[in-house]
Amino acid sequence: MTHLDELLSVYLDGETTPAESARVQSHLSDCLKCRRRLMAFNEARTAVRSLPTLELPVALVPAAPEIARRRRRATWLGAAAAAAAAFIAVATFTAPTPEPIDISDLSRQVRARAALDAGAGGLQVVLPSAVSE
Amino acid sequence: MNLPALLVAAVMAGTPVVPDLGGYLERSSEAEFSGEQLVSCETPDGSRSSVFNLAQLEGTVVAWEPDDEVPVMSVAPGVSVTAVGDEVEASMVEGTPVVQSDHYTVGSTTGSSYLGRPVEEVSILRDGTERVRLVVDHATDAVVRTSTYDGDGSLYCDRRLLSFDTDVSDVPEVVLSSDVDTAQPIDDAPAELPESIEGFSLVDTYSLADGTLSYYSDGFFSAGVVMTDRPIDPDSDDGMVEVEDDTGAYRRSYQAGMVSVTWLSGSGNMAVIGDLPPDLLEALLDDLPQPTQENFFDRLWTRLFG
Amino acid sequence: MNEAPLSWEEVARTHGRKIYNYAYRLCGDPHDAADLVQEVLLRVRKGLADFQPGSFDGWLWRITHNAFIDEMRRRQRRPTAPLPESVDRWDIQSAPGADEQLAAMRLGEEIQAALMQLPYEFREAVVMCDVVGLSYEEIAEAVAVPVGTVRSRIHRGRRLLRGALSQEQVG
Repeated sequence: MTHLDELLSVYLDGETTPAESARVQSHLSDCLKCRRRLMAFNEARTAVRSLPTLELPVALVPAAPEIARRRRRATWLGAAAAAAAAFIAVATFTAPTPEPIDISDLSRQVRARAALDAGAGGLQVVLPSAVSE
Repeated sequence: MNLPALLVAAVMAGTPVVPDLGGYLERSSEAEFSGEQLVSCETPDGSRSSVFNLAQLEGTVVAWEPDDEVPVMSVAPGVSVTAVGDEVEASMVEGTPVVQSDHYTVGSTTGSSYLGRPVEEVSILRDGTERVRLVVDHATDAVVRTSTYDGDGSLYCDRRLLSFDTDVSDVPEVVLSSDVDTAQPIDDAPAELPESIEGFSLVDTYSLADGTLSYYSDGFFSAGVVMTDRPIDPDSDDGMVEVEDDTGAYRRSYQAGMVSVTWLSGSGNMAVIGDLPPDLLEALLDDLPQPTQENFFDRLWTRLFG
Repeated sequence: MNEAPLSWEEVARTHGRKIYNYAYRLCGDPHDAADLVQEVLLRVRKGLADFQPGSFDGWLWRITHNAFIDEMRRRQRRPTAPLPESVDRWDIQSAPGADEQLAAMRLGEEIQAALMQLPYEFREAVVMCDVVGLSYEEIAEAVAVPVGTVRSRIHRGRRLLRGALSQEQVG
């Protein structure tokens, strides 16, 4: 399976062609690695989009200042809305959450493997018994 | 008979047997005995100890308690089984056995007695420093006590039999259903994992759901290194400690004789599971993919979405 | 907007803030950014008469892009003055609700610092896309490169940015 890279970034901006979008969507539904990558691009994109908008210094506004003043306060709220939209777009591809791996299953496999070795003295069976601390 | 047993048998059949760590452990694995086992460890997160019944027969080690709630564990070469009542969970693997290690040498051997039986105390050096002390029963070759040491010479884990009996008639039987798949090593280990770290070699790698499990061994201590896209559930674990060092955050859990560490790296979710003393665990972690500094995005997300 | 606005004052009112934010995110300095806005408005004033019907945004941002490049070249030939203390920051610290604003400010500073680490072409493409909000086609027109190059610059910029922000040590 060929993984996607640049196309994911383009996709976040809605700049893919319909054919490319279809390809991205079908690939994302199968590929966890690319879903993670999409998240990573989205984080970078959201970071920049979340930067507060700075007001133009008054001296540079030639006239009719009421237009410039209307939205005076730099706000994170608009950025949050934009980021939320992108976030939701990404989240649809991250569901369903993959089932977690139980560490006790991993331990059991490591124990089985270690028992193949002559020297695996330390990894022999230890019951996590009632006595602890 | 598995491969290391064959190799060791071949060595034993020849002329003088040079004592080595692998030889002691291999001969011990052929002994048959039962007894009460105490494992006590001094870890950076406090003392951990456990007492249970232990038996070894036909190359299989079984651990159990009279309590039905506590699982019966059984380990044989390539097989590990945990059973609570009828619920049996098993893992089976194939792999390339680690037979010899250049890192371990026998330092000194002393005659002594343990549990009223003649024994030999064997000091084992790892690259010149004492790391392991074995107490070997003369009559059966069984290792009846194993002490392991941290890099500074302090005792890490002491595993010893509190009673010793050659009668193995009263050992619970674990029935393994035949539908367990045997995990085969795959050819490609993840590129992010070093071939060797501080005396440990990457021996075998196995496929996991959305990831890999790579097995490292230095000839005595060993560890599985897991790299997966799935989240790793750290068990319901009381001993879990959040550890932060210069590079990032780990979740660490020491149990008697076993340690597991989980973290998130740029390469996915990671776990190390093994029996390493604290200094070797640290050395291993230093050379594995480091935890991501998630703080920035965490803060950004909190900022944006609360 | 595809028709030329009537006056440069109107351009200033409708686009001044975007140009200022663009300039600020590219150079990280409020005074330089203000200088650049003035320069762009000057060029708009001169150029409006010759404006041909077409994409006004493409035209305006090409002027802005060129003005910035010219300004950078000019500055490279003379010593730069030390950066002034950020006055805003102290104002915010003492204001009511300072904690929250300060947290926002710090995040913004970290993102800005990460942006400054990007190669200029990548930074410009990312800022045009994510700060100004231009389409890839508009960016291509402004910077005079193919759309494929814009895709690649934004993508590589984001990848570097993600790396820079992930490595950010938190003090």
